[in-house]
Amino acid sequence: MLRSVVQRILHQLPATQAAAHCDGPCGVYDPASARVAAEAVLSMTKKLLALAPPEGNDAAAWATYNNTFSRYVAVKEEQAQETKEELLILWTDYFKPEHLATFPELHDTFWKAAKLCSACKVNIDQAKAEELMQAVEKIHTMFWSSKGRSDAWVTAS
Amino acid sequence: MFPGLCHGDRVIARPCRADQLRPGDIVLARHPLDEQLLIKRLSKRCADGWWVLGDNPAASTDSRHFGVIPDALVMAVVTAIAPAASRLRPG
Repeated sequence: MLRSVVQRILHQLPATQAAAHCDGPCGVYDPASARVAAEAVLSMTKKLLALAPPEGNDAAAWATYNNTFSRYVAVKEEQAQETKEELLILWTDYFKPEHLATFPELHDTFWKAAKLCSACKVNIDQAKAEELMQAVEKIHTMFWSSKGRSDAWVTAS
Repeated sequence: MFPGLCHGDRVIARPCRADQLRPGDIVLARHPLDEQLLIKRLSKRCADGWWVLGDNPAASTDSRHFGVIPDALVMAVVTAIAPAASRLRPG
């Protein structure tokens, strides 16, 4: 009885909320994941452009060519989608309205970068893939400068 | 923090000095990266603060993700838990 009364009183009192676990409070964001995916897009685009079809009608050679071509396309599309998702996470979860004061071009940069992901997914276009890398680099610079850091832009390839 | 705590539980906590706590204590602390108020269990003492873990490792975001919580961010230690109304038996 007493316990129940105490419990009831406790639950009437104003209290601050504390989070035990929630969606992404870890605050761990890094544009590196978008960069790695964008690099893969550029790499697959270059490989596709360099891939020469076999001469003649050798069935096995054509099978190998078609298989390799399909794989390159599949990876390129998957990584372009991945780049877009990683960028959207930074755009919608990491960057806050107050960042707009420092980076007025923030929305435009992300929007164009997301569009480039689509263009790279649909086409085999090395110029677009290189533009995408430049867009990710711009986002990298904004991201780290928002944290008061100036981490160098490093690529794997 | 399940099963130690359930959603909606209320706690009573008293302000504390981080260096006087013991592993196993449940604390209210500020998230080292985004200042959100967290509730976690102290796991082990480190040179620069406390390593904290949730009671439910699979679902918890804790020191495994954000590292040690510096002493200055440990706000209070939990002294009593009032289970959420939904956990109380009627009567």
